[in-house]
Amino acid sequence: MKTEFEQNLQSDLRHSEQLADLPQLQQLAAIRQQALEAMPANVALPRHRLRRLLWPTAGMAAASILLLVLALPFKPMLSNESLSDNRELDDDLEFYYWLADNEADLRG
Amino acid sequence: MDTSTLKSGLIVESRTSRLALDGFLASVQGRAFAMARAAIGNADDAMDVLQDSMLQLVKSYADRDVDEWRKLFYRILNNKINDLFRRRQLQRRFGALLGSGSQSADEQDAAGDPFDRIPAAEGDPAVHLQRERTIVGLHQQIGRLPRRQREAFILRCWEGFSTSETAQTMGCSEGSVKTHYSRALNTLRVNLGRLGEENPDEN
Repeated sequence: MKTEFEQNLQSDLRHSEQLADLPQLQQLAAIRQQALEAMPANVALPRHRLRRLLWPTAGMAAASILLLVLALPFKPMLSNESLSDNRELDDDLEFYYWLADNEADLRG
Repeated sequence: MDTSTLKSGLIVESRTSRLALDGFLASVQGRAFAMARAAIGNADDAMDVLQDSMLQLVKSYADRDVDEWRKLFYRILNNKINDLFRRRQLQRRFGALLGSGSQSADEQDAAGDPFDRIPAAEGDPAVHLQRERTIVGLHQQIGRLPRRQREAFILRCWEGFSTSETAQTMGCSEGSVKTHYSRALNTLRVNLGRLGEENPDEN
């Protein structure tokens, strides 16, 4: 915690920042623009920013792969219902064969 | 990701960095100029030091995180101020050797006090004048502090850095910061108190 003396000093010093006259303010703006003009053309991303991007990127890639897999066309497997239909047909076929044989015998 | 997309991304990133840098420099320029002027005692030299500091930050550290810029900038500023003092010292030594001194005290007085250009402010002129004189005296005392005390004082008291942040910026231990800062405060308290005694009408 600052003492009263320190607080007063800080207050006076921060007030002194407002004391620049107009030519000085214009000069400050000019040197700031000159400095920005000297900025390197391609500012590389800092390494820790790359690390921050890694997990979201990996997550997006995984989600894309999953979507691709799910969207691929596939042949539907025979359902139980269709299997049972085939079984009934088989049973009916046996009956019809038996019926045909009996009819043949009866005619015979 | 193709090359054109990558280039577009880099251009966007570069523009964002430029905007962020512009915002940062605009936020510190006024205080940094006042700090340099207090330390150096000359507005023109302070402007040169500030320009060099901004250039170095932009050229060397534009790719750093925004949170690092403040400490880096003040470290650069302090180094540039110290460089200026070393050059002045060398010039004085060479001037003494060659017999042609640097700007004499009379010439310095003739150049005028930069605070003479202080624009008029609203409010009671007497109060305003008293505060300006206090600030002038304070700046002069800051400029006379030993280097490390001045750096610790400017960063701790003026900028408001913590002891830890000040230590990182100065490249020293927190214990050293506390020592330098404490000594700076004591010196200022004594000298500013003397100034007050010499000018009782202003109190």
